[in-house]
Amino acid sequence: MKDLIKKILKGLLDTVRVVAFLLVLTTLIIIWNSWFRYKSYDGSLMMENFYEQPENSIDMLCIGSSHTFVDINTGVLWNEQGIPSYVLGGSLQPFWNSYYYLVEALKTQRPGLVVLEALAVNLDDDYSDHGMIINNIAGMRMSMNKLEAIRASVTDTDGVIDYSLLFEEYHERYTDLELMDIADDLGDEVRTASWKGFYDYYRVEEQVHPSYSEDVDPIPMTNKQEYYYRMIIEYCQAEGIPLLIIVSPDGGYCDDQRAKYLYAADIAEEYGVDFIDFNEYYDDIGLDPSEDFGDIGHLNYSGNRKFTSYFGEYLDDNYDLPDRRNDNSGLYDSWEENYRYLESRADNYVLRRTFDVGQYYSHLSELSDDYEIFVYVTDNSHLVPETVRYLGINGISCQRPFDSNRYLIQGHRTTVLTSDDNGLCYEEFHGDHHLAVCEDSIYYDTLDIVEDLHEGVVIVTYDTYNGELADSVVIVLGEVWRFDV
Amino acid sequence: MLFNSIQFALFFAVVLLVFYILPPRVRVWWILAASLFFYCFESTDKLISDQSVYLFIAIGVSWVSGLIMDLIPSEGKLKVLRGVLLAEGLIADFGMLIYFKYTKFFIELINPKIVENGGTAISTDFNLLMPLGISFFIFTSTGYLLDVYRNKVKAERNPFYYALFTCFFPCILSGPIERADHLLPQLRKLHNVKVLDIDRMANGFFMIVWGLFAKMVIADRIAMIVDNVYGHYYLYGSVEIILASICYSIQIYCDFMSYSSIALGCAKLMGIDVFDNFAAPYLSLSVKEFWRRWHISLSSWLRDYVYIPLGGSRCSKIRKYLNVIITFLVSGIWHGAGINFIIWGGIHGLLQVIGDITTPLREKVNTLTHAKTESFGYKLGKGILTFIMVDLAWVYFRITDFKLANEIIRRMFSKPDLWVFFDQSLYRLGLDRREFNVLFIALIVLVVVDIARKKNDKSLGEILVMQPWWFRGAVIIILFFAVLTFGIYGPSFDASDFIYLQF
Repeated sequence: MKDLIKKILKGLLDTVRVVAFLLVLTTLIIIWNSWFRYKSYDGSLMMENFYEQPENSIDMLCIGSSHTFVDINTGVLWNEQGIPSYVLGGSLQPFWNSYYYLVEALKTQRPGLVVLEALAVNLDDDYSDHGMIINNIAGMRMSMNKLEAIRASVTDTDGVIDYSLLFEEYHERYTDLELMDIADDLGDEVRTASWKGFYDYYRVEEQVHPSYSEDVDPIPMTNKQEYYYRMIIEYCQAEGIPLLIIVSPDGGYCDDQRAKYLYAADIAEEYGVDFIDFNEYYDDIGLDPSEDFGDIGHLNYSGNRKFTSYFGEYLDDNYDLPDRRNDNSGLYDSWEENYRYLESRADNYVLRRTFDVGQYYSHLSELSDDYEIFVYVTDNSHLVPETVRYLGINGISCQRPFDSNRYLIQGHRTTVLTSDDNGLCYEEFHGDHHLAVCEDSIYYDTLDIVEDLHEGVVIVTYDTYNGELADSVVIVLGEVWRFDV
Repeated sequence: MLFNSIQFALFFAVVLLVFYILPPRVRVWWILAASLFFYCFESTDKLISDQSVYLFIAIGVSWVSGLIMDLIPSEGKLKVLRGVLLAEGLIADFGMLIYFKYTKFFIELINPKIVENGGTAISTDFNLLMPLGISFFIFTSTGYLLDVYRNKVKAERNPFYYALFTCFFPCILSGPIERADHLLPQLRKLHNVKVLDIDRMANGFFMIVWGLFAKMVIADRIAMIVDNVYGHYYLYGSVEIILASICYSIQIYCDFMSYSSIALGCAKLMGIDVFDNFAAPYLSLSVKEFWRRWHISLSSWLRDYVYIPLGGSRCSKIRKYLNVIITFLVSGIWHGAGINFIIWGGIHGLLQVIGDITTPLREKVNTLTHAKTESFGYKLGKGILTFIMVDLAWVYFRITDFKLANEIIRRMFSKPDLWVFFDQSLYRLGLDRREFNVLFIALIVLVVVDIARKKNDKSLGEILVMQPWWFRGAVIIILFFAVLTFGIYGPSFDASDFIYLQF
């Protein structure tokens, strides 16, 4: 009897041990996976974030290639038309991935309009590159739909297993782990909370005005692309959701591409679906090829605002999408946040691109209360009139001798900064960044921005909303010198 | 299906789960089905691979031969029939092995002679798709035949048990080479295996993760140095080439050992003990000891079925040395069809012979110099010397071209470049600083584990089981995550593949 009790107890104890081991292992795998899983704002995170959107809150869903998430500015659509939109794109997204993204999206959303961006007609391969496959499937939650998306993307059974688990992507990930991999908010609290899939492209690359022939013959897309292109159209029609197929402005637009788009347009017409090629409206949109492109295929922060503004008006004229700006239910607050985020990031970029002293002060004066501007006037500075004027507006006297030379300007309110016993005047933490204004220096993290500076006016502009250093310059003899931060 | 693939992980998880759920009496059929699937399955389009037929031939021939042999008395007139059956079985088995593994090699060997005599060289432009694991399952089945012939074991009556003995999936591709008297009795008692045996589970899981660690964290990482330096030997000096050759010794050890370790772990989880194939071989104090610790199942197979039948050590010294050399030549050619493997085997044979011949002389010198043969320093020196000899021999194993192998060894001693230790050159051998550091830490783990292995003279799993349960759990978990994080597997993660806006 004793032996039996002993045996049972041992069995129980062993079971507890095994369960404890499995629990610890499972917990660690979940944590490890959350750190090491593949994360990219291109495709995967767009889809993951999509699941976080309130159910049935999206009125316009955009699917397609990078052109979708770089050209269609969700902030502008909200601000100007009150359209809560979301971009579910992925680099070089073929139509089969667009189709499965659409199916996935309609599980939780019922948009009033689906916009399909048609760059995929130019893709000639039936299977994407490894990285692109991952971008376009990694964010999807496990479901039959995801498995079908993978089956359509790869050639063999092994591929289906590998891409389903994405296990094989984990190795070597340790070499590039960063804050966004470990932090719950991906290291960007503001963006993550309100992100709608749009990526503002801060780059300028001069392009030429595209030229094309009016009368080109349509060239078919590949059979596989056409199959899924038709599937998208038929699926939207079966679901009773209007579909608009667009070609967004492209610096590389040419006859060959146009011929393929014409083929796609013919199919759209066959189904009675709207198709619009915005490359034919270049001048109406007001695009400046020298300023509005980030690279040959993509509009930049300036171009996407012009294009989206035009596109928004087109939507307003042709579709019955409600203006949600006056909705006070809170359902659409994140779109307002998204707009604010995008605009402030664009303001920061514009500030960083300004080299004219007058314009620089003008931009600074227009910044909102979200910005803290630290001004450090070196003792032997030769102040140019623009500086004197800017400081004067903010109540800083330039009469010598200065009673202080460090100031904090926020919304035209100026504070004279004095240091504590340790020489620290002011500090602020945001995310993993740290700004410290000291008696002799200004530190951004551990970098001394004004090290060994003896001349000029140092201006450090800190965007408290985004928690980023908007710009840091020294103005010497009427010129803007930028610190390499 | 490689052991370090996700496919195998899924396969084994299903096999194990079903193994534990099924009624005990059915387990053996399940493992047989799993083994046949593991070996024969090709794809959903073609369920059974063409090469599987050779496995079935090997199983069929040796089972039938063994069975009939067992029915014939080993004494009397019919005794000769047993020999005939043995010969028939061996010819069939080795015939397949020789055909697939050595046909090209022999043709390439005789071609120069043919051309020299004015003939036309025989074309080697054909592709003989060698059945996977043929070297292992042939040795398993021939070992069985010889054991039955010698009345060491009774022939297995049940063809399914015998089939499972030959194609047991953890062992079929890379060993260990099992013996009938060791594995068959365990297969017959598979229904007695306890489902919840925490010690056995810890042992099995540890052996699996340890094998994965050795393969994916060490062997596949260190291979980058080896491939780079041996591939561009002309760019490197002595120190770098010596380092690369040491790295190769470690690579080949971790590679071979990892498969055996995973096999041992998988079998253990199903309640089966297979041979522990590696017992800290680089901590050996002589080449002879090295062979007692390296690929133990192969060494013992060669000892029992080649060396001893040749006369072993119970004959004249010259004959004994010849037996040693022949055995090692067989070992060499078993490892691969190439002159370099024969040379490698020959070197080991010679080293053993020289070691044996010089033993009295060395003992005399030790006595005269009052050498403290039990001291750590003495053993360390012996160990290093043994490692150097084994390491140099590996060069011939790795390099198929004999002249090139000689050139590499020459460069080890003729291009001194000690400064590479100080000028960051080591980080340009194939691994950057970060990878180098990971490797360095992993090697420290390897050394510690091997020392523990040698000290305890037990398999690593058994050593672990001696530890408290939380410690075992922690070790398994740490190794598991080390493999996931630092293992080399799948397509290389190149962040540039995923870069934003790579349209």
